Amino acid sequence: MASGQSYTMRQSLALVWRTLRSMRTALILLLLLALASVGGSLLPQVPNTPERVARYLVDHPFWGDLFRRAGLFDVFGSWWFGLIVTLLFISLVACLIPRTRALVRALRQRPVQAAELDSLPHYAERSVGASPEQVVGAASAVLRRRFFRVEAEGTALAAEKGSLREAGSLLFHWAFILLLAGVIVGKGTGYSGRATVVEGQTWVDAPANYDGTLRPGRWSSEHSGVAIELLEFRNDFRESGVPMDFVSQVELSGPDPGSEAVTTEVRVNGPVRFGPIRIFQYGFGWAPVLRVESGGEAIFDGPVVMGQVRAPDGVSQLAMPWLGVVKLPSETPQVAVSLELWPDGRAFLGDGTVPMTTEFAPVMRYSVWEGDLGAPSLGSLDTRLMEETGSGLLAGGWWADLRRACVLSGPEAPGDAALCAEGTPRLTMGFTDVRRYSVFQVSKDAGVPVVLAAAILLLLGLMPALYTSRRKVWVRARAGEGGTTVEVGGSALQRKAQFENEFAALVDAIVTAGRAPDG
Amino acid sequence: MAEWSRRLFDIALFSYVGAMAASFAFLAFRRKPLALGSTALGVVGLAANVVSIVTRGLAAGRTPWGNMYEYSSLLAAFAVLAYLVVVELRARVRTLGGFVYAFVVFTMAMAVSFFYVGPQDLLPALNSYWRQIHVTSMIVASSLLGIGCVITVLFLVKDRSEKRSAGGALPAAASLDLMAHRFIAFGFAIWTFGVLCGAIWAQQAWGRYWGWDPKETWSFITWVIFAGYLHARATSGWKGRRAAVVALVGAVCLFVTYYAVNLWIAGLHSYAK
Repeated sequence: MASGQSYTMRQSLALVWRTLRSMRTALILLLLLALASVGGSLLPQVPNTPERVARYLVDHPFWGDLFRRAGLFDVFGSWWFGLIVTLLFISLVACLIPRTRALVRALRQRPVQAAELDSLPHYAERSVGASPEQVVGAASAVLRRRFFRVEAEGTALAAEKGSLREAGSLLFHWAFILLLAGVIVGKGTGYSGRATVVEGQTWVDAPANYDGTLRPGRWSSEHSGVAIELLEFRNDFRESGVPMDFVSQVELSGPDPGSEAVTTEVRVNGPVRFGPIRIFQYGFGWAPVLRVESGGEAIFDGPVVMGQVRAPDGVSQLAMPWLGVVKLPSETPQVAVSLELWPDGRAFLGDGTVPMTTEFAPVMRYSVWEGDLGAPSLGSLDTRLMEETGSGLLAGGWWADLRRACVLSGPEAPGDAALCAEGTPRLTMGFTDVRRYSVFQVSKDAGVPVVLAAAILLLLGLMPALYTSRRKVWVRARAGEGGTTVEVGGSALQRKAQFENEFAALVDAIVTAGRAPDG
Repeated sequence: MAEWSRRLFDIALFSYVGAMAASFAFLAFRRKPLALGSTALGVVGLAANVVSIVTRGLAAGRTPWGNMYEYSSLLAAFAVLAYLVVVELRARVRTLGGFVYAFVVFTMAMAVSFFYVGPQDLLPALNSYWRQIHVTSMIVASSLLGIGCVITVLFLVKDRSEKRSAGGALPAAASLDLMAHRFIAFGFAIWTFGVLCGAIWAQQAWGRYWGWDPKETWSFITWVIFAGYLHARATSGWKGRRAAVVALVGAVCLFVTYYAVNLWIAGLHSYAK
């Protein structure tokens, strides 16, 4: 009973292996792969646009939940997509190994003589002047010059060409394995995330500094400890408002105390490689510098990174203001100041929309909230347990009294803004400066050179795989009255139409070479 | 200059319409002058198309492939060039012109109806020499795959009609199949090259060579389907009609990659909104 079972087991394993290796399996897996990818492009995906996924779940509760359970919001990270890819690669390797062995074997063999030539798809018979051995020798030279592998034996020769087709195809397919290796190494040990750096500040590559944008490697990721100091951010716009270039001038230094600092520029389409990491220009924004004093002592002093909300339809995103918040948890009651920055104050002159691309008499609206901050470390403001106690306007260089929402002092007469009446301000905020910040995409991917090499090999293999073909040519010469009769036969396994012309040219060349005796 | 470009585009479009009509008339009536007329109009249209592209480039101060209108114009020009050189000149087949010109006219009509913008400067993200390589490759590949799929449709039609009776105006089904295969194989090779260049450019600009952005995903899907077509032609039971159907699925994916992704699905490649 036991031996009967193991025989059937081996048979079924062999059947599985043969099925995996078959072209039909590869075809079905390829179609499945395409189908799975369709799902990943039509539905929003969590790794790309998590906010759209959240919105989808809210808008379509039933389908959204169903899709989420099926893993359709992260198709390319899901287990079943990984399964299709794994099966495809197993099928690939299962097919590649025997075919590679067969190619090596075929390359070692010498071309085989043919018995009868006239039954071949291409055949020609001619008369030439030289002796049979000379003709075959000349034919051998002709074919060798055209890169055929020739096996000549006296008055007959066999020649072959075009094993580059199979070699190219194998190279192309093996390159996918290399590609897979590069992807695994890169995603396994690399990481990527965004770094927000204000002009004048330094950011260090450590997991904590990515503000939640870090995508770590699957198994391990050692951070480089590289420091990025943003010296200056420049963005040049054309008159029309179309952006021309985004450039960050940075100083980069390694974690070791003795390492040299490098000053360079990071721009769109012009990343910088430093140590094991690469730095790309991803975004930028405005960061006003504020100083808040409570009872004369500074409780906040520094830049506030601002962001924008999406512009409503018909409004240019460039003309939108920049929003941010300053939280003061040490005050009683706790205070939050929500801010709306207009870097180009000319927007208030009412001359149509002005893009917020240059700094010119910046204006900032603020509203003061008092109450319970909730979680003070989050970037957004939760005002459920707070109430708004006042709001006002600040221009560059002005100071405001936050408790009374009025202006204390400024370089010029404040104009419309409400000046404070007599009284001692206990909580004041000064709008001292406006700076820019740059958002960089920082990534480490050790697999990139491997993937690039795989891409090059893919292309190198693809051309011969498509555009050469396995051809065989045989030549036979026999002596007869009035000279030597030479027979040429040929066959092409692929690209048969193209071989016709090539065969005719070969026959002509052989006949020409065999016309006069070598002397 | 921009005005000249626009006028020449229109001249090219109308020439192609004429070439298409003449070619269909030749298919129906088999009068030699119609075929010659079709070729002549095709050449005139191509010349106008090319000059339209060149003047557009001069007007914008950069190579003229930076938005959907310009891509479509380039795609049309390349398709006509490939058709005239490979099908009419080398293979000496004159009966397929109508269908190829129909495809070209459709592309150009879409361009001028929905995508026309005046020549503009490029966004900094597009300002890289990779744009020349990646975008041109994808356009050339699209035009070749497009022609290949047009011929595939004709193959399916001819194959069905050959089962009933031999002969007819179009070339034999087997040679249509072969011709389609040659266009698709070459288009596939260039598509592969274009996608890999796109990945290299993405690494430079966005910090990652592949992010499953909808355009990337659909260009991958299109690639997989046409890879499937090439495998199908080597698989018993899938040669001929079944492989042709796979190619048509690929044509749909190509259409989605070129039009739908740009217009309806938002992403890094989006020109939508």
